[in-house]
Amino acid sequence: MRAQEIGDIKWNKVVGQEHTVSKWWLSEDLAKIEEYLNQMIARGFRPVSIGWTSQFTFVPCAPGEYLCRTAMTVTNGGFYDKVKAAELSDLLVADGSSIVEQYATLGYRAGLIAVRPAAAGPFELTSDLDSRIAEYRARKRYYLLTGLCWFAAAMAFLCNALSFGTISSHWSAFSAITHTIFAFVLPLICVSLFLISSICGLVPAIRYQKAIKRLEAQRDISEV
Amino acid sequence: MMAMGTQGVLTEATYYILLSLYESLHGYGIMQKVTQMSNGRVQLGAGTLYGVLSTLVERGWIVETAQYDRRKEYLITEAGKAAVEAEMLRLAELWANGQAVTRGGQR
Repeated sequence: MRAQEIGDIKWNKVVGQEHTVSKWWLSEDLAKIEEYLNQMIARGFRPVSIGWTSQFTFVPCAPGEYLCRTAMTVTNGGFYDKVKAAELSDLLVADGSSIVEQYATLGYRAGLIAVRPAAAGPFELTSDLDSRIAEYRARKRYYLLTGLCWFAAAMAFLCNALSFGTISSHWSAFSAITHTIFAFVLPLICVSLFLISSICGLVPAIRYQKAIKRLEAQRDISEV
Repeated sequence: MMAMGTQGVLTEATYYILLSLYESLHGYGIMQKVTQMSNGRVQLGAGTLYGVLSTLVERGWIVETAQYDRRKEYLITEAGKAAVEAEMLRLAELWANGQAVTRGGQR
């Protein structure tokens, strides 16, 4: 096991054929993950698994040998759909795909990532406008909910910190420095981080909303 | 048969999936049959197929006939056949009007 640099990719770990790298996005988005994995395939690395803390593991392949696609496996209400996840992965495997990762956390963050040999022809999980719009709606709902949760957390923390910081009786036993740190500096840092997380959730939601509008306008004149 | 205009317009995917289910088929069989019927023009995405199958089962236009391991087989119902017939009438009207205008002058 050793860190190794190939081209400009700095692998965290190389074990036999398996190369592992950490990849982070400020704003996590399935579309970005799909784009990244397709870029890695174009450079000759096929994804085989994604571990906790965004550890992507690849094995060498011919450049562009595979195509990667992603989908959310949630119900229309936005919750994890176990049946959909199972049936969709079965369909994909029957169609010659490999499931790179299938995840379901927090009850509403659920999806799958699949690859299929490019030689098998075009690879799309959604082949018409209706299902593409449904997929984008599911993604929008997820990112919107995530963004709003972080926003609510930021507001709750802010209110709590303000009320705590302004009640002087709490601070009679502390020095002025301690008071400043706990009443202003730490809350400010936390609220800022929560607000940044909120924006990171809301930005993809807005992007998907725009994509949905674009597809709906297209549907007015065409079905496919 | 269902009256024209009461079901809305079927998408191409829905129409072909219903047509393919005049015989009992599982998901991957449907994908292959649709590709074959359309001479490779229509290639159903797995997500699209799953979504349409769920909707058609809910609507009672297809039913599950068997399940092997996790693979389910589906078959069209009488309501589904009526929907296909109605869609064929609509398509025939589109085709006839198109022919009349482009080949035979304005109707």
